[in-house]
Amino acid sequence: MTTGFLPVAAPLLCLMANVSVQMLAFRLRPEFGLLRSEYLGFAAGLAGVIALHLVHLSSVPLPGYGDIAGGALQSLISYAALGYCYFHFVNLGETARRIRLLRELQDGGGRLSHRQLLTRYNAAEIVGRRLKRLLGTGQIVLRDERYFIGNPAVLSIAKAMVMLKVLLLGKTSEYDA
Amino acid sequence: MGELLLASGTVILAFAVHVLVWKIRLPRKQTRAIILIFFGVLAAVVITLPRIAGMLPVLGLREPVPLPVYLNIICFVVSIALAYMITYSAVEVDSPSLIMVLAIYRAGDAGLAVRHFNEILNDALLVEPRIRDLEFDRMATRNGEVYQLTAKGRLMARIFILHRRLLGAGKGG
Repeated sequence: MTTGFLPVAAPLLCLMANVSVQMLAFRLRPEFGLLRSEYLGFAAGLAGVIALHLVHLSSVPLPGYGDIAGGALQSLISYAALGYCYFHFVNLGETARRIRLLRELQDGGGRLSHRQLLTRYNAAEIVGRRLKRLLGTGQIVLRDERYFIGNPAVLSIAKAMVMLKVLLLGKTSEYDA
Repeated sequence: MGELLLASGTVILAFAVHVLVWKIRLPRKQTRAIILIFFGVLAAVVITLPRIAGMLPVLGLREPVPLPVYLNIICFVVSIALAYMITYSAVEVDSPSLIMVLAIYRAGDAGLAVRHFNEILNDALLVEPRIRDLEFDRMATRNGEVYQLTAKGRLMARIFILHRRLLGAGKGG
């Protein structure tokens, strides 16, 4: 058995390292970009998980290969899942419409009319921001006043999401009846 | 390896229960239902862990089961449950980028005219449903035409405002 408290704590400790490195990287070098700072934070945490496992293994009688691999894999999967959660937390702040609406309400003193809310945040802004990203990364291209699919990476993700929606909800979109 | 197998089995069992419940009847509050299912299955496994260890010696779990084994299994299942819960929010709600890309894809080889694209992606499609979500999730209340943040909504807004401020990033959205 490789079980001890260090492997249990490793994913949580390394999540903290991930968050710290990501925030520091973006804060110090904003031109580095949010996505790259997230990758850097995740990689730092991952290195931490491996290092903590090696420290743990050096402090206990060496178990069998199966237990070593099992314990390490369990910590790595737990850390990857927590890292994925933080990645989405950062992205929620960056792209989630509900969070932006909450921010607008908060900035408006906690109360806004429907019209005021739509003046502060609307489809034109949502589409504009995403168009910039999709065109910038070549996911879509603009030719003769028409949009076309460019690099199909986001399209593949969209298709996978549709499949998951069909599997779980029996429909392809939240707008389906 | 036994711990990993047991923890993975717990996740698979919770996912199976989730799919089964969804096939029978879609819960009104889906995210809450996912949390209840995953944490319920985890609680059942944790409570019966000494018995599982005795019944399945192939797992190689020592008896009495040491505390770190419990914590390891809890940490693993909770991490995956949270990750799945976050992913599920993208299943529940259509992301604007995906709506845009799918609309262009469905237009086929001729592409999608900019004018038509702008007509489809309007407030009714992209903003109104999310405003209704705030009410549904009790983050805001509506009084006539006026929306007011609830304590829950204010807390959520503050968490993200603080994080964005620490990052030195703008409003986002």
